[in-house]
Amino acid sequence: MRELSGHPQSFSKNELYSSIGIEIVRSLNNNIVSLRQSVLVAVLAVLLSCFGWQSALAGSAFTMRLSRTGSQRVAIAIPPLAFSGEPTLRHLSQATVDIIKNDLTESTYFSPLDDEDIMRQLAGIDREKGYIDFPEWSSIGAEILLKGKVSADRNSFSVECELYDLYDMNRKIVIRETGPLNNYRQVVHRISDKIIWEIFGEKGISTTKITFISRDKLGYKQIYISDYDGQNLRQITRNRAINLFPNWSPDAKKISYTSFKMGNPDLYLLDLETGKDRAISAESGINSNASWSPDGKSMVLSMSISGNPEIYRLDLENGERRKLTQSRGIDTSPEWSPDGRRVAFTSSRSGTPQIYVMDIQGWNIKRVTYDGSYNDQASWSPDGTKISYSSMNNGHFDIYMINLSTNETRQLTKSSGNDESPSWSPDGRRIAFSSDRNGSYQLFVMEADGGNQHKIMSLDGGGYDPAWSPHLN
Amino acid sequence: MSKKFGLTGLVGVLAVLLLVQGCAKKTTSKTGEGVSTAVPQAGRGMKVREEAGLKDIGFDFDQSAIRPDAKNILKQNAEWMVKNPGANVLVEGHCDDRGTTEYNLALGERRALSVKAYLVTLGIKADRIYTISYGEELPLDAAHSEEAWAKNRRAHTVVTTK
Repeated sequence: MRELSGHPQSFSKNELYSSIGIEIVRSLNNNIVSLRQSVLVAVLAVLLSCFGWQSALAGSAFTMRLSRTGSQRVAIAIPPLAFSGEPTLRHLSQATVDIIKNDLTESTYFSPLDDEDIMRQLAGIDREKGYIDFPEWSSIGAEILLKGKVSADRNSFSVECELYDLYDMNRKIVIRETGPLNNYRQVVHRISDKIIWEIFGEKGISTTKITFISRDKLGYKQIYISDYDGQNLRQITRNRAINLFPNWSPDAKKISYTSFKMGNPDLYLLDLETGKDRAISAESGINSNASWSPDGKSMVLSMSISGNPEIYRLDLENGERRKLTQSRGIDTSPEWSPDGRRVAFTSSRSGTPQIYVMDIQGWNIKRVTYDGSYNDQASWSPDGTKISYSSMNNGHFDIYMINLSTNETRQLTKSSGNDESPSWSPDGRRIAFSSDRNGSYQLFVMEADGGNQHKIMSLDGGGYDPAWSPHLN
Repeated sequence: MSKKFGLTGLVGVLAVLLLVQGCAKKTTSKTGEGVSTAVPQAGRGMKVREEAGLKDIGFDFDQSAIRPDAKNILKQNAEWMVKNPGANVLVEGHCDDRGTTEYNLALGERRALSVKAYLVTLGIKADRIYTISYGEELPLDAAHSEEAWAKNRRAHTVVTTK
């Protein structure tokens, strides 16, 4: 049984069957067990192996499904991709390599090799020889090798590549994606997600998007969408008004937001496909901070129609509204839980803003945060076990995380500025947030344990209040 | 003997009850005041104009209670409204930028409603008073200083024109 640079043991099918065979023969020789017993053992072993027994026998052509241990990453070599098609688009081959490398690094699963010269050399040698010299690739530290080609012409863009497991050279996976040229980045992101799926059996986030606030040239806060890596920026509101709190519908086809465009903070729904934009809550007072139920049929929001900001539940199909909180404090920032059964929100009912959780009927209200005198902006982890939030310490905000079963809190950011508005990626491995640590507020991303905090965009109008999209289908 | 005790006892109990009652009334929440009796009234699509006779009031940090110095200003604003019976007003609630956008939008709302409630106690009809919160979005002074923050924590009143 081989170990792969620190990962738990994994085996190939052939090894397993041969070891079972050896055991059967051995036991028969020893006359210790009957033939029936050893057959039973063999059947049991095969059944165990089929049902996820720490090894990679289920599913794909790849026998290697590496379980994640801590922060260990799989080393992947991505030499230059071949190119065919319109010569002026040749640069897209390198762009493709760069996007894949960034996606795989951001996924936290992989560590792409970065010595491009050596990889170019080895790829050249492979071409001359007419076959892939696997031991050479292994010798530079690669565990997986990606080879392939990019084709691009005026209308279409496609990537076709092969993934090789350098520990089992008979195995390879072919991955192909194609799409229109003007959206080539999305084609490449799909390739990255397929790589993550084939190797780890996990859904990647390379095709996801982030919606957020930035100021336009006139200084008004508008709503924008970008790819999760900060590219493909698109402005989606254009009005001379204040726009706040963008949020995704669970199918990622609509954005809810609060806008002052009619002279009052009202809640709007924008259909990204049709462009249709309509007010769905326009009562007196505040209509803000909307969060969707996982089935997309309801929302929770904060409204002050009664004279005090409270949490309400809104049925999107029949327009019915139900008040969930009734307190002397301010109740705001509601967030529907991923399991659909609870709502996290912020309330100052105990004197200062703190995070609470209640069920979707408004019962069983429980306070969650006890440390710190100002806690707001709760965001649920996709598995529903943790909430990240902003906490004010010594006059500035840091992002914290609380484990709802152990009540353990953990400080994730410690910068000199304000770190606010956390939003989890749909795979639960990353958190986007807004930080003014470098001067103006910009969008940052970090790993869910607070590691690798880095800016993803530098906009003149800044970056506020990010909301990470669901997985896009 | 027993009669005297009975009477004293009764008076004692009454006194205790009154004391407890009084204490309960004096208790205020940490935010300085309870929920306002005013409800918001949105002025969608209205135009507004500045009016020198309507002055701003300031608020303490994280508070929406009307300060003693503010009461005089609001009395003057109310007088202006009495003298101009045809005019309606929009009260804007504002915050400094410490705190989150979400919470400040709600706090600004509290401030606007607090002003409205006070004006109503001074005899102004509630339907003449529109309210809106701008939270921390429209500061008068973008600096990060106590003076700037104090300027930004305000209720600003304008006249609505139909």
